[in-house]
Amino acid sequence: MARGRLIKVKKNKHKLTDVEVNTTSLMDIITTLLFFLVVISSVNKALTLDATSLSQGKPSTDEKQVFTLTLNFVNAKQAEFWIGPSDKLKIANYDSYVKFMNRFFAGSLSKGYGKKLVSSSKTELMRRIEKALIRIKKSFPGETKIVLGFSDNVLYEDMISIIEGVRSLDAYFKPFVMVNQLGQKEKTRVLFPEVVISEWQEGPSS
Amino acid sequence: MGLKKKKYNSQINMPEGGISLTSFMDVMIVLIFFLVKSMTVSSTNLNTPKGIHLPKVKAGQEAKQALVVSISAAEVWADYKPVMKLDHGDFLSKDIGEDGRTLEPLKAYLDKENSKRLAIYKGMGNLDFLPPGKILIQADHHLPFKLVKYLLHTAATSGYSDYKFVVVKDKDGG
Repeated sequence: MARGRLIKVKKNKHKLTDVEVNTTSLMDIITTLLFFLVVISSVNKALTLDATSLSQGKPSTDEKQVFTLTLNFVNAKQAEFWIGPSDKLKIANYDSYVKFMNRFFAGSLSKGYGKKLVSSSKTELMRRIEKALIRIKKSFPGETKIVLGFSDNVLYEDMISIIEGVRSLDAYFKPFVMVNQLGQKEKTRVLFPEVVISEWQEGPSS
Repeated sequence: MGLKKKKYNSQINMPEGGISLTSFMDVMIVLIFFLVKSMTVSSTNLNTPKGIHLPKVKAGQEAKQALVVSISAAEVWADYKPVMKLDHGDFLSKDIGEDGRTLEPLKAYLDKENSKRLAIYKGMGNLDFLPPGKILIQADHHLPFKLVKYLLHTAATSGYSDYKFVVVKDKDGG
């Protein structure tokens, strides 16, 4: 009985019709799909620039000196630099740093340095700022934070280009050589990638 | 006449050229799989509301999923839902809180969203150590900081102080 069944099944299998996929139309569909996927993925890619807000709270009572770098923008062509007291901080290339700061900035290591920058264009201003930031970064390779203050009339697009400029060097500059915290020389374009946003305030440099 | 016949014969004897459809299909399917995966996982598709032209940058990070707040000269959106109107490029006085810096309708929305976020982490330990919430900010490139600062302040007071400014790649600038 079982044998007879098996034979029946085998016969049925032979009767099955061959099924084929129409490859031409399938290829058409896949090619169209691929085209749209490529177009969508290239058009809709959103990018972001990161920043944080200046946390509101009680001022620190800790007497330990911390690195403070603030840039206040009155507008896209005028800015104020402020580097807090740093006489108790570890400074790489100490002599050349002090020489540079005393030459181009007002103040001292114990009181902090300040400078007003006024330029004819926003591109020129950012280049001057980046030049100074390179020098500061070389002496404080472990520091990553910068506070940016903006006055009411700074345009949003200028604010974004300033954030971009202080985070990493513009293509106008070549990467600079810096001795990192491990004592190794490295070529980098990274300046101060941790941006903290605040309102423009009359700073000590004013 | 004889020459013509010879040419005809050589055309017939040419070996048949063809693509192995099975392997071609394999390649195509793998390609589609990776394209779809990279689109859905690594980048977020963000719509830009009407009246917003995003600023251009040379480089930035890929956008990740987060709460979206958008501002143009006429309106403020939270997750693409309109929450506030502006009058001639300025906020209406009824929308500004007592401190003169907080946008109340936006704060109400963000507080609600933040409480949902906190509820997720409630049983996991001290919420004081929870990192600040991430917020994607879409603002028109011509807006002054005067308007943007209200939005940033409101977001920070609602627990969203990790700002992600949405920008577009400047194709001309490299």
